[in-house]
Amino acid sequence: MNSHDAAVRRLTSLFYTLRRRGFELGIGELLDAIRALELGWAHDEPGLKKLASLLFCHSPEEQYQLELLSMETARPRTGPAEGPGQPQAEAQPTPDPPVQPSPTAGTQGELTPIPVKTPPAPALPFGERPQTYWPITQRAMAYGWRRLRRPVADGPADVLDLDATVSRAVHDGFFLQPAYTRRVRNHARLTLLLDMNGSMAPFHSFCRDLAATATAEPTLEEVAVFYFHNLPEAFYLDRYLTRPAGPLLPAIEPDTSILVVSDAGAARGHHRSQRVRATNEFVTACRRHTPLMAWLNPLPRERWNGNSASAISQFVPMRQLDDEGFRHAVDLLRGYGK
Amino acid sequence: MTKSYTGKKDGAPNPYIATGELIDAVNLALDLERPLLLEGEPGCGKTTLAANVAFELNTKYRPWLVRSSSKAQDGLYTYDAILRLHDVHLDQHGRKPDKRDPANPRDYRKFGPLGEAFEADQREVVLIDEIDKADLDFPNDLLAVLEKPRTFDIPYTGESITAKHPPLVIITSNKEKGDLPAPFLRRCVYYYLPFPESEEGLFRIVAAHFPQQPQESEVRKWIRRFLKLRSATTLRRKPGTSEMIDWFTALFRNGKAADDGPLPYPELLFKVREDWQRRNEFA
Repeated sequence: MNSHDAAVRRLTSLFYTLRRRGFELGIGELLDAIRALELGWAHDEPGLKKLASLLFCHSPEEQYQLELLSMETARPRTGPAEGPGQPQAEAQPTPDPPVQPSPTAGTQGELTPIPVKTPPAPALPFGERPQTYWPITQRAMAYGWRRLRRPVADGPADVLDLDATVSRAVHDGFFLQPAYTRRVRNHARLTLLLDMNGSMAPFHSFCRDLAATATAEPTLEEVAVFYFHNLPEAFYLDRYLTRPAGPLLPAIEPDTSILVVSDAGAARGHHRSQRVRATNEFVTACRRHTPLMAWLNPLPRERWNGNSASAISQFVPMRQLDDEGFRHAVDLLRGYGK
Repeated sequence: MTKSYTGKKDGAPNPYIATGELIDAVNLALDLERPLLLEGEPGCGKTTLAANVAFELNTKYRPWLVRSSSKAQDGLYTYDAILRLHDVHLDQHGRKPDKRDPANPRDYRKFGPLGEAFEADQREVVLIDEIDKADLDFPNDLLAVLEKPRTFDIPYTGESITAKHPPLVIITSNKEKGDLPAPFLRRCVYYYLPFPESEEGLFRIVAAHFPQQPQESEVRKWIRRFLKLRSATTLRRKPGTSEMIDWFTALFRNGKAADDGPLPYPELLFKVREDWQRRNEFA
């Protein structure tokens, strides 16, 4: 096996590993990387790493992930059989993620920690694979918020309307001045209501991401985040539920979209009519201000049956929290679908 | 391989010290004909790189400074329909506009930086500066012209422009409005420009910018103070390389000798009120 083939295999294996880790890469990137090798890019391990960092990574965080990955693979797998200066380019044709050394390997010579073996993951149905640690990535959230638009042409009148200008000139018989239309601006406002503590504790960091990506989204005209515990009655400004917020509803306008994130009792699996009633009252009150409302439930749909969540989902459109559910929820917040 | 970038050519109007990795990134972008996306702290030399590359490749440098209202089309061409309408009107009243013929729509279209580079007879360098300032869809609208087929149509004139020589496109971003769209990122060679935190790296930059500098030991003393300031954890906004160069310009112009007193010219180093008010703590 010559060094070019080895380098190509190493790159391919790296490419697939990174893809599995959630990097958004197309085959074009791999082909270009191979072309760079043909054009004379260094074939050694540091050269390949640099190439991967330039072509496959698109943020310092991704570069750091690559760094970690190459540290993992740089650990000696099996002691002998490889010459001293040779890069470990014996990547398999069907590349696997860098696995921990098997109990039999890697224990020669020096002492190494005993490899910890995790229990085998339950078999997934075909086509489903765990992509990221989160039910939904930060990037998917940012993309979702970008789609939340309520464009209204009420900006400064500085967009040239060519057709109107020409027709006015034709109508008047002379050209006096150009016709302008107003610039389109986004009037989407978002109010996030996040359930905290108790059964929502496992999803806190997700809620934090959701709030952070929404507040960082510059296209939204206004983003307000409020926190509550179990019942959407009393709202707080901070996620430790210490600073009570004033009444919520006066600030809700017809352009405001309300997104509630709560398990609605599905985590514990009880049906509590008090919870359903209180939620219903709140939802009815909100509906008087805005029709744009959606509910995200971090628990999957199968878990809603027979508890408060299924009752609440009768009067608020509820989606489960994954990529598709989030997209639907954003559509609902824009006023599409039901 | 065609001409490649070494970062070593002397006599540049704006000297630039490029690290080996950055030079590799530029050459990779040149070879693969992909845009080079540069990110990094403000004022660490993202923008100046493009001019230096153009200087070394002995080609034209075309900056395109993106604003919040920029449209992708502005970089390709603009078409002045109003002027043409106006000229037609003048024509009807018996006055001829000079240099322009209303019957010829090409007199009213003007190429933008990318359009000019497409028409050029050699490979040029186009800088798309601060791409994140523009609308979110802006990068996506550029996809078709940044990679093959590198062509665009001008409906007003019926022209179809294809790049004769694919320009080297250097794009800078501060991530001001979050991440750039993934399909766009996929097509770029990405490089993160770090601040040269070492004394040696900064000294090379100062030496390149001020060939007639005073004593080396003096300069190093100032650099050490600058680095100490940057390492202060309580500093809200760290000054970048461009601020450092301004600062040294002021120091050298007034012949300031290195001492341990309060930092001179704090106006050039502290740009946030909080830092400014506590400027003496950082000395």
